[in-house]
Amino acid sequence: MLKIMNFSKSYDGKKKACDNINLEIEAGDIYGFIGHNGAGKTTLLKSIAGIIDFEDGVIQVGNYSIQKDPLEVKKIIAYIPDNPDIYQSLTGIQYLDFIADVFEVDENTRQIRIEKYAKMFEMEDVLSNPISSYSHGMKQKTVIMSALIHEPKVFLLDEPFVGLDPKASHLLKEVFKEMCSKGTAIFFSTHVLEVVEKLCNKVAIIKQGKIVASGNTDKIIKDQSLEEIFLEITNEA
Amino acid sequence: MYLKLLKLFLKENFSLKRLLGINFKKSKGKAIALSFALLYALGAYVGTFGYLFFEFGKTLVQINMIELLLMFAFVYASGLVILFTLFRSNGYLFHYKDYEILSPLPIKPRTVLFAKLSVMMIMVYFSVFLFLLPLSFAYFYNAGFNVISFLFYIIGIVVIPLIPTVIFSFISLGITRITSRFRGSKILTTVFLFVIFLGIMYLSFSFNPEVINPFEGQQAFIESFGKIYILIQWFAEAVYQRNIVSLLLLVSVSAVPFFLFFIGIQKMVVVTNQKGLSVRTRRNAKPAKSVTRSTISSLVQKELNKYLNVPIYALNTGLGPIMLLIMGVASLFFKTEIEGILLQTVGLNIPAELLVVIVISFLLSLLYTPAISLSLEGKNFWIIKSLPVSPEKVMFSKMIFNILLGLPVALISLGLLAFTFKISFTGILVVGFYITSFSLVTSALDSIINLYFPKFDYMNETEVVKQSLGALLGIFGNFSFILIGGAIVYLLFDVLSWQFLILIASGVNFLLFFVFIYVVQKIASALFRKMSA
Repeated sequence: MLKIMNFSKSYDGKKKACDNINLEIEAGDIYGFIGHNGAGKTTLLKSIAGIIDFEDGVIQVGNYSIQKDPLEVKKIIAYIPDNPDIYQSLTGIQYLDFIADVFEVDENTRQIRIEKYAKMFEMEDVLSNPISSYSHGMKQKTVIMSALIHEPKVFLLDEPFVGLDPKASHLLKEVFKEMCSKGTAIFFSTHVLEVVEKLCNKVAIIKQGKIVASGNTDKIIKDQSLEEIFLEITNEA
Repeated sequence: MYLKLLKLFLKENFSLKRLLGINFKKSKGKAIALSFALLYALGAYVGTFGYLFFEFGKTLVQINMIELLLMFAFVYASGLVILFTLFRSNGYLFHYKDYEILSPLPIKPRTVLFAKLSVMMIMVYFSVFLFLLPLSFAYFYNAGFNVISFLFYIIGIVVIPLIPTVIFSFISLGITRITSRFRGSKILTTVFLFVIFLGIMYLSFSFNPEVINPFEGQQAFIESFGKIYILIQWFAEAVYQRNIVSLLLLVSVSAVPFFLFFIGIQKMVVVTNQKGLSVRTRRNAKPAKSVTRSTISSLVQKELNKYLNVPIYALNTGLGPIMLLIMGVASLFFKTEIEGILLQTVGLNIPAELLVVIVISFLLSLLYTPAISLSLEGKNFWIIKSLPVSPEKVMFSKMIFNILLGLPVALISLGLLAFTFKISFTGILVVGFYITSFSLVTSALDSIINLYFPKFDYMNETEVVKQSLGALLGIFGNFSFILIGGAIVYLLFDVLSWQFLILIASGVNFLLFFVFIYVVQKIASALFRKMSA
């Protein structure tokens, strides 16, 4: 579903933020992406979503390349950034409508999905309020709802659990499982290693722009904890 | 600590990258374009105002009233400070964005406030001194240069902003406090500020149709204002008569309230920043109502929401359409006066239709939303970039919004002016055709400007709306189409009828519009890819 081949990205033309990355995320995968701050996680996620340009490599979503057919790729993905900066001038419902309009989600379908997720994330009573009045967690929930409204085939999330209350975190994990069962590929970065350990069938570890380990979570962990593996790998010279 | 904070705030607020949105080391081409644009803007301002004040000064010398220019300087400086304080004092003092960063630090709130106030006043002084440059030159050239007068003048200009800053900081806070209680608080604030702004405009530009130079029209107002507000007289006496008593009075009467203001607001600043004035989340019993739209109309709707929720954006770019409407309606009641203004400011022996074209085009030029609306996406730009919407469509939606904001009002205004000045039906059609072409071509050009000169990194919208390169090029770029039309009329006025000339100018505009649309289609995707917010 999502293929990253020989991907490299440099911001200054010298140091590579991502260096020759190769990953494949299949339909139904819940793929965790971990690494130190500044290791290159956000750069890779933003590149897949078509937010930043890159020099080398190919990123393919479905049958489309993000460089050659960015609009086709964007039609089947949803991206959630690490900081939920969304239009302060809109109300929650206006923002959800805006996203649904762009993805051409019909009226009935959007109604059903908005109701479902608003109820799930306890946002029904505040959707008609301006986003400027929302807390960080409420904005995060709004972004998550907007991503789910068009049922993406590939779901990209940059540290999605930051700012969510325990209940919302739990619900998001349930959403992940539901989407996974429908064949959606989920690729997310996080610093919460337990979540990866318990939730993800696959994991990739990035260090200074390079993937240092990737594959099935149980094979990578073996009889250790992910934390031990992570520290071991990232502390190596 | 104060100096460290001051240095930090100055860097945050006034670094060239922050002010103009470009890195000079990395973008040499843009730096050159910017230098030319700034020189052009400065030249146009100093040239126009310098000439008018210089001529006005000569007249005042003849009637032995040159000190009146000093009163002008006082009133203009105060007006500028009022506008600045109304829009910015809230962000600088009462609700600054870095409060959460600064408040946990072991710094006395007084020190932070002093640094914030200093930065605000530096911005005020920079604007006031720049704005008064042509007037100052006109005064000292016509009155004769004297070192003491000049020194007193500088001291005077330093203290003039103090009282307006005190009064209008409170007014600004008051407006925000009142409007924040209501649901559409941002829109209400916009309306409040619009009313105040138009009031100031009305007082500042209360032209007297009997005279050619507009400043002469303001003479009576300034003189009568000077009689009421004694500080104006003290300033004029201090500089003109080199009267040190008047200077001391001016300094003390201005500085004392300002000092008390600084002492008095220390606690208030902490409280306002702690509480914030953002609308509190209300639990709304009503279910949210969903509305389905096409992608393009949804994008346009988003532009409208942004427009109505950012007062500085609506106020700056909405002035043209508002003035168009006011002028159209006013023409029904003040035909002779408006005719007089149009003839004296634009020229004699020009058909009424051409005057209408010039005035409507000028006011439409003040509408430059596509030159800044992409920049205003700011931190939200990731949304547009990650959605399956082509960059061209995004830019078209911004153009459409600008056209919808200006063109209908311009056409209504044309209808009203046509009724007043008895313009024929053919005349209305021809002028309407030109206005349509003008609205289209300026919207398209402004879009290209913003594509090449985006500024996503800003602390508040004012930096984009008023200070960005896009805004500057947008307004002056729009003016260039008036010059193109003017050149066509000027060169061929004796050869062809005015109707035909306007049609030619419209044709040029339409042609350029299609060229610009083609350019947007060609460049938008590539430039979007390079942009990172």
